[in-house]
Amino acid sequence: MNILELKSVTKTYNIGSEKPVYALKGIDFAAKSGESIAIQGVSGSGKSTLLNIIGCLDSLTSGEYYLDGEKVQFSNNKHIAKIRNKKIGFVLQNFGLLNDRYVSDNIALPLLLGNISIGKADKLALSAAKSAGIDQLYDKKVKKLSGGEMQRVAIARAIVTDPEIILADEPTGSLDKATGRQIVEMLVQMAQSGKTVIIVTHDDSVAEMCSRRFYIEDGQIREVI
Amino acid sequence: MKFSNLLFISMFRFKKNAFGYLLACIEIFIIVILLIYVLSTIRYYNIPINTLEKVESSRLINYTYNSMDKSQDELIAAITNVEEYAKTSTDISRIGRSGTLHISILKDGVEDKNLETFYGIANTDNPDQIEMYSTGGALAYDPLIAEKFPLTLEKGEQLKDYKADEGCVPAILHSKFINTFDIGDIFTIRLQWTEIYSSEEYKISYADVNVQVAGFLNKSNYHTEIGAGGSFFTADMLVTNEFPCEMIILHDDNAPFPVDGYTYMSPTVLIEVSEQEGALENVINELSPTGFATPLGNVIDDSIYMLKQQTAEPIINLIILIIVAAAAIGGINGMNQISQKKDFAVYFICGATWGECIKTDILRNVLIISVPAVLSGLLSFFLLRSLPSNVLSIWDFVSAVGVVTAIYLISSLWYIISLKRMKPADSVKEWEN
Repeated sequence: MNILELKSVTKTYNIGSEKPVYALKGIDFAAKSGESIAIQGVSGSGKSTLLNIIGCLDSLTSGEYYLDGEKVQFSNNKHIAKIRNKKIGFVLQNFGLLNDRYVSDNIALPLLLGNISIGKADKLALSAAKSAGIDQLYDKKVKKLSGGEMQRVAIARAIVTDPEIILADEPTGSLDKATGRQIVEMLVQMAQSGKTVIIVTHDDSVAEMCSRRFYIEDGQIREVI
Repeated sequence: MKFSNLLFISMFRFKKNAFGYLLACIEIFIIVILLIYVLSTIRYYNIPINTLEKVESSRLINYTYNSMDKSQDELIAAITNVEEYAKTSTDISRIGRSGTLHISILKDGVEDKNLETFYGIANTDNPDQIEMYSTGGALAYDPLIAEKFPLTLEKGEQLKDYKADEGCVPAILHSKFINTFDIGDIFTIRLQWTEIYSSEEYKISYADVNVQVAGFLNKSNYHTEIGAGGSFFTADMLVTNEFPCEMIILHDDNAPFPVDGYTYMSPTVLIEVSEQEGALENVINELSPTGFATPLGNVIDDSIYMLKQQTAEPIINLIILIIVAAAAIGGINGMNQISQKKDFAVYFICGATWGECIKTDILRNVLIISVPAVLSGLLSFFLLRSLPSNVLSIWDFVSAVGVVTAIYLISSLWYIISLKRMKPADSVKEWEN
C-alpha cells in the first residue's frame, strides 16, 4: 500500500500580473513504506516544491494528495501542522537547527510541539540521539558541533516522533563526501527498517544508494529505471 | 500546545544571550528609573492641581498679608482689621483663619526628642536663636478652612468630620507618624508663639494642648507657593521637607489655646461672603487697601496655572523619554525578533502552526521584558525611596513598569503585524538563504 500518493498535482505561483508560473505540472507520484527514493533535477525544476508539498510545508494548486490513505486538507492549518509533527521528519541541507541551543532542545522540539511533557520528551529525545549515534553530544550546544554531527542531530530530530516519512532536502550538500555518505547510509537504513525516505539531491552517488530514482524537469516527473 | 511546553520553547531564545540580556536589563533599569522620576514629578504637581480643582470657591475670598515686608505689629493690625470688619459687615457670613505654630510633642511633660518634631523649645532662654523655630510646626485650621479644603489622607477622617473626645483637638498627622500613632490616640503637644513681636521685642508664650489623631496625610507631600495677587497654601503643600509641619490641628473659638497666637505667622484668612448681590466686590474693595483680598476662584485658577506651568517641563521630559525608550527598547526587540523569525522555520518543520510561532514569540517578549522591568522597577523604587525627598508612590513604579512593558509589547505587536502571515515553505526558504 502506498504511504503517500500525489494525483495530478499542480503548483503555480502568481508573480505580478503575468501568467501563473507552473512549478509542478500534473504530477503523479507514489511511495511505499520501506522505499528510499531519490529525486533529482536541475535548480528550479520543481524538486523542492514537490518536497514542500509532500512535507505539507506548502499547499498544492490543484490535484490530490493522499497520506497514509487519507486526503490531505491543506486548508486546515492545524491538521497540516499535526501531519508535519507526527508523520513527517525533515532533514535539510543547512540542518535546520536552533544553533544556539542544546542538542537535547533541538531533538525534543517536535515532541514539545506535539504536547509531550517536558520530562518524557527528554527521555525520547535521548533515545533518538542514541539511534543517531550522538548521545554523547546530547548536552552540547549545536554551534559547537561539526557539520556531520549537526546532520545527525537533524536526523535524530526527524525520527524522534517516529514518523512514517523522512524528507531530506540535499542532506549532503553541506558535508564532505565521506560524511555525506555516512548520512545517506543512515537514511537508507531507516528506509530498510520500514520508513519512507525521500531524498532530493544533485549527487548521483547519493541517488544510486536509493531503491528508486526520479528525475524532475520543467515541473514534470519521471522515474529513472 | 501545553502552556508549560510553550513556556519552555519560549525560553530557548530567552536563554540565548546572557550578555545581551544583561545589557537589556541595564537599559530597561535606566529607562524605568527615569520614568519613575518623571512620573513622580508630574504627580507631585498633579495631586495639588486635582485638590485645588475640587475646591468650591464661589462666595469665598482669600485674604493675605505680606508679612515679609511688614512688622508683626502691622500684620496683627491688618488681621484685627479684617476681623473687626467681619463682625460689622452683613456682606460676610463666615471668616476662618489658618496659620502656623511651633510645637513639640510632650511625653510625661517633657519634649519627646525621639519623635524628632521639636526644633527650638530649648532656645527660649536664648531668644537670639529664635529663627530656629522656623524649622518645624503645626498648621492650625479653623472649621471654615477645614470644610473648604479637605486634606489628602493616607487614612483616617477629615478634620471637619472627626468627633474628638472632650478637651481634645483633632489633628491630622504627617505620614511619618503612621507607625507611631493610631487613629484615636491622644497625646500632648506644646504650642508656642510670639505674643509680642517686633524687630526689637518679642515674648514667647506656650500652651499645652491635648490632640487626638483623626488621620494621617497622604505619604506624598507637596509644596508650592502661590504668589501674585494673593497666596494660598493647601495643607498638603505645607507639610513638606521645606516646611516641615508635623500636623494640622483644628481649632474653633473653644479651643484650649489662644487662637490669636498663631495668626502672627503665615496667616491666611478665608472669608465667606453672604448671598447678597455685590457682597464679593464690597468685601474686596473694603479689604484691599490693607492686604491682598482676592476672589478665591482667581487664586485657585492662578495656582493651577502656575502648577501646570511647572508640570510642562516634566511632561516634555516624559515625551522625550518615551521616544528614547521606544527607540531603545524597539531596537533590542527588533534584534531579538530577527533571530526569532529565523527560528519560525525550524518550528514549522517540527510541526508548529503559525499561531504557535506567534504565541512563542509573544510569550518570549513578555518574559524578556517583565523580568527586568519588574526587577528594575523594584530596584529603582527602593533606590528612589531611600532619597530624602520621599514623594514616591507605588503608582509611580507601576506606571513606569507599565510604560516600558507597553512600549515593548507595542513594538512586538508592530513586528508581528508587519510579518503578516508567513507560509511555512517561505519561512524555510528564507531560513535556508
